[in-house]
Amino acid sequence: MRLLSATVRAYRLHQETTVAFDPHRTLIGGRNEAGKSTLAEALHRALFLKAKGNTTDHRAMKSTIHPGTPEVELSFLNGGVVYQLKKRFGTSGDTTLTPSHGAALTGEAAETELARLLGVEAGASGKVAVGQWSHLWVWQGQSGDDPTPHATSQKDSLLHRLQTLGGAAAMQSERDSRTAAAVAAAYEESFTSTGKVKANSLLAQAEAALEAALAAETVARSRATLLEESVQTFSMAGEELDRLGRDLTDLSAQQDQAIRQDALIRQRREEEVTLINADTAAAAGLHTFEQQEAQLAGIRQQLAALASELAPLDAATETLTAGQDAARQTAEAAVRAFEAASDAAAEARQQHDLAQSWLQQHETAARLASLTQRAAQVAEHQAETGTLQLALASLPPVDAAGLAVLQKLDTHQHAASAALTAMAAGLELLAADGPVLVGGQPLAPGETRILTEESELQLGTAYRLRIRPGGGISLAAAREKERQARQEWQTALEKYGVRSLEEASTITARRAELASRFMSGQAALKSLQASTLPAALAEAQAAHAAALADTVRRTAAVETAPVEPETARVLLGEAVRRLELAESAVVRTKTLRDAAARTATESARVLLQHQDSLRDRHTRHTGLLAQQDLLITTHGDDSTRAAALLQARDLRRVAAGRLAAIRKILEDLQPEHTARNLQRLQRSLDELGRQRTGAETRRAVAADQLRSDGSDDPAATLALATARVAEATENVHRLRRQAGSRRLLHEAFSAEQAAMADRFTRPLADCISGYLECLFGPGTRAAVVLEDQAFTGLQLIRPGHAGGAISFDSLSGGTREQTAAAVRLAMAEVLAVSHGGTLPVVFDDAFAHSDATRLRQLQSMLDLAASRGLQIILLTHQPADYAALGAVGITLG
Amino acid sequence: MPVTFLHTADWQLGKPFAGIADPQKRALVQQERLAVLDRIAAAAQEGGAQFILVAGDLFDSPSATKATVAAACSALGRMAVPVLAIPGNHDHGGPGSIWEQEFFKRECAALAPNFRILLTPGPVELEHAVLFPCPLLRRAESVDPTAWLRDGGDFSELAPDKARIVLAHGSVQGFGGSTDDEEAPVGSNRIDLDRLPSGSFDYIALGDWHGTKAIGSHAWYSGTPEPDRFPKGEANEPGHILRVTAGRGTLPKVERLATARLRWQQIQWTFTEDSSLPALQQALVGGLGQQAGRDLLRLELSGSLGIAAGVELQQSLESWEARLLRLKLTDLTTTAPSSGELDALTQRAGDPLISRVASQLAGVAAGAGEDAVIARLALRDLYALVVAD
Repeated sequence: MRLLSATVRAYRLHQETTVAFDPHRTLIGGRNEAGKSTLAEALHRALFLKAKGNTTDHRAMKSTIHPGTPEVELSFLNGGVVYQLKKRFGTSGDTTLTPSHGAALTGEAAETELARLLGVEAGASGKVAVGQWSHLWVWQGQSGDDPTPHATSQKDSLLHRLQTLGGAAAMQSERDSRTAAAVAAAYEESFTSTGKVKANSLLAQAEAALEAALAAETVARSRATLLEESVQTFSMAGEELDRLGRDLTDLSAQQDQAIRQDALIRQRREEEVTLINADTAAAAGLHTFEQQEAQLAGIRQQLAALASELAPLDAATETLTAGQDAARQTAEAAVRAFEAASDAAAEARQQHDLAQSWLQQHETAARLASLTQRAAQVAEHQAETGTLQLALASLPPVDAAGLAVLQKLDTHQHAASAALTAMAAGLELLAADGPVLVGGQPLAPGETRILTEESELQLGTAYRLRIRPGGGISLAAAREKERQARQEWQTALEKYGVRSLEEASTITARRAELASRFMSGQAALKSLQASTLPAALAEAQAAHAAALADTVRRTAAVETAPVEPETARVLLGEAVRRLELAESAVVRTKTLRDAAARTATESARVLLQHQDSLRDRHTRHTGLLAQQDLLITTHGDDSTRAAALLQARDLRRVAAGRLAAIRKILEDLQPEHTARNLQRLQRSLDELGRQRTGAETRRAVAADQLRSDGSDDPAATLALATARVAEATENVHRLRRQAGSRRLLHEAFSAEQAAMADRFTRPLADCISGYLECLFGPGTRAAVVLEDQAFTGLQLIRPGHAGGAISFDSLSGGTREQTAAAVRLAMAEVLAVSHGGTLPVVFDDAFAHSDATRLRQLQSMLDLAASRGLQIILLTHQPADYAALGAVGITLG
Repeated sequence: MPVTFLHTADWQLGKPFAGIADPQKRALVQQERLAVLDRIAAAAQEGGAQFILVAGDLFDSPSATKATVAAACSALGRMAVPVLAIPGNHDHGGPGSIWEQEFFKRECAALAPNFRILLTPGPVELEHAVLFPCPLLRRAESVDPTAWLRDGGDFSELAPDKARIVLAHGSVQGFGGSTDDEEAPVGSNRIDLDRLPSGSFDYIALGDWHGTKAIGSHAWYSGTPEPDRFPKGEANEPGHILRVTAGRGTLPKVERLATARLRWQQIQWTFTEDSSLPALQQALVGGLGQQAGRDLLRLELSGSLGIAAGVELQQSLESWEARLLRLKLTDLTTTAPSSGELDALTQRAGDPLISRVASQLAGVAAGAGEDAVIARLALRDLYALVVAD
């Protein structure tokens, strides 16, 4: 079926519009509101909406700007026949269908024939009519909708075609569907949608029952096991109690015997204590006697020893006394020799000191004389330099430098005066009869006056003249300069205390001479050490006076002093030698004296010590004799004491014998062993007692466990519980197999249905894929599922895109409308065979979301569709975008 | 002077029969173990028995319930002659045993004053006989319970003319000690009869083996008076008591008296083709009859059946399970579609989906293992759906 041309009249904004369609590609452009969508709608209404009617669709066609009834004339080719279709829409609408070679049909007949030609249900109206061929009419704003519902609406035609195209592909029968549904229902009884066992299914209930049975069996087994264990425990506890009873009896007997032995040991121990006391008393008595004897024997032994010591000591006393006297005499002789030597030395020292004093006196006198002479020279030089100093002080203070200054100022002054004079007026009074005053100062005749400034000349009283020297300002400057020079000169003269340059020169020469002489005097004084001379002189005087005094003091005892210093030195030398000899004698005699004194002292000390020792021994001897007498008086004489000692020794021997005997008995009784035995037996009895208590407790507990109230038989309960577990296990096994059967059947049906559907829909999917490859490149595929007699699950599969298949709803807006267009074209291509090999596909601004690149690819896809026989009618407000389609262009408005 | 008495054993009163899932049927089977006691009482009365000996396992458990004890004492009391018993391995006389429980003693005193439990190994002199009880005081004794009869026993003081009767419970030379396949195994209690002094005892009343069997000329297992398990082998003859006449120094006279009411049967059947199913039905009817509430059957099935036959078998088994006191089924039958059934599933040109699925499942079902079992079940379910559609 192919549209050839259309004329729309009084149809909303169309007054009358005629369009001629290209057999393959028609591009209808026009601005917004130009009527493109209205034209697409008018074409659809003409084909599918009954002309007569007053539905919303009918009323919507009416134009508000153009009078008349909405009318569409359509020319189309179908099955090789050209048809002219004319419809006037409205309550009195009519239809005329005129084939190229046949009679025109009108009214219902025309509608019926038209529906037959288009392969749709006749007489449709309302939504059904509006929805016809929705897969071929892509309305503005609906291009991105999932196209599979449109495929479902055409499923009969599509399935018919697909079955033809699919070759061996077979469709499931009604029985297949019912059986598959029954299988699915059975599966859903047992399993959830995720494949898990349903909570309330028979299998789940059976599994829960098995769990409960297992739990009950565990409880029953625990109870039965507890009883078995209790039997064991009871028996074992009984056996243990029997054994413990025997052991306790045996141990008790052992303990009784040990207790008896222990009592015997205690008795013997008491006896031992008594015997120990007796033995201790006997030993103490014996000890007293033995101590007395020992004490007396000791005293006697000491007396004998002292007596033997005293005889030689008395003899030694005389020898020591004689030695001590000899030593004392030797010491006294040595003292005397020492004292003589000391006296000789003292005398030699006086001689020596006197000679030394004499020499000292001579030496200090010589020094004093020398210093006195030098003091006279100093006084002379000091007087001269004093005179020179006074002369220098009386001269004006001008020296060579001052003279140079004065010379310079003098020159300067003369130069300034000469310059002034050169500019001043000279006035000389040659003769006058009266007083002449110049500047108020009288001028005598013959006197000249240099006038360096304006001056008044008064000649007597009658004449007064004013003289103005020349030179102007320079004269004043010269005059000022001359005054300053003169003043500086005067100041310098005053400073140096001279009156002229010549005087200054004379004085300067005089000062130089005086100064030279003064310096010579100062040098002489320095060489004479004038500054230290008074002190040295005083010191020499004092030393000489002292030497004199010492000499006088020493001379009083000896002869007169020698006159010459040399003599004095000789005397001193002799005095020194004598003194050395005397002092040597003193040292020697002193050594002898000290040795003799030490010997005498030691002899005295030895004697004294000997006497002390001797005295001590006599004292001790006396004391020992007294002690011996006291002991004998107290304890009797030797025979009496010997008898008492013998008796005490007998007593002690008897007591010790008894004690040893009782101790032997005790040793034989093994008291420590018995004590350990008692402890061990008591420990064992305690332990066995604890064990018996434990066994009795265990037996009592076991007996309690075994005591039945007869309400149930644990063995039977366990047997029943085990049987219920077996039944529940068998039931679960059976139901699992049943569920497995259901799952297997369901999976087999699902897989086969999917495989069949895939084979069935493959021609359509292949066709869609061909168009998609124009858009998205080679390898792009589409998948669509035929499920429950409906097409669904449209997916786009693009190679190289992560994630694999993308469902239609997940695509972007642009891709969605392009994919939908591919599906529509594929459906049209599949269905076209039933319509003479072609069908129109109308796109009304269907690619609003596609970018320029994708639009180019779209045109390739649309061109492919046209080349496969489809009639592409594209309405757009931007026809330039489709310039590459190679379509016949029509512009509305 | 000879004495006549009844020898019985292994009553195992209170046995739970846990393998019977239906509580009512279980109660019926339990009740039969009490009902047979009245038949024993009648036999004692009719045969002039002076006493009845129970050679162990009067109760099934050493912790029997009050209800069981009361019912047992009531039945014992109705026996009118002295009943003497020893504890067996099931109701051993160890600590906490039923014989020590207060409620047993009370019920026994009130309802069965003619009953006496012999808990001590030692001669018990009756009016015309001397009993030598060998009680088990624990489930598994490590020593021969009859040892006391030979180890220095001096029985010269006993009456020389009274029959000497031993009461013992255990296995003889590896024979005996049978256990139900649904109860936990118990330790064996070995009895060495060969070591008993020759000629010392005139009759040995044994318990433990549930079939009736003579062991030599003087010793017998009486077996259980009412069978409680499916038979093992041809030699097993349960359901009897023994009427014994024994005298000092003479061979005992032993008569077997049938006392059983329930029939424990077993059938093994192998299906070779679907048509062998009706044959099984006939065999069941022939073996069991149409009477309900009396038979217990262990049925072991093997072989292969088609789906329809398999479904029919299941329906039949459901009927038998309802009818029998117990159907213990071991079903090793392979239910796989017959060739016709398989064609009906796989050769469906008009139903390609069913056909493909069936073919796929048939491939798996032809294999082995659990997957094949599941696949056969799936084929059966699919067949049912297709047939029902």
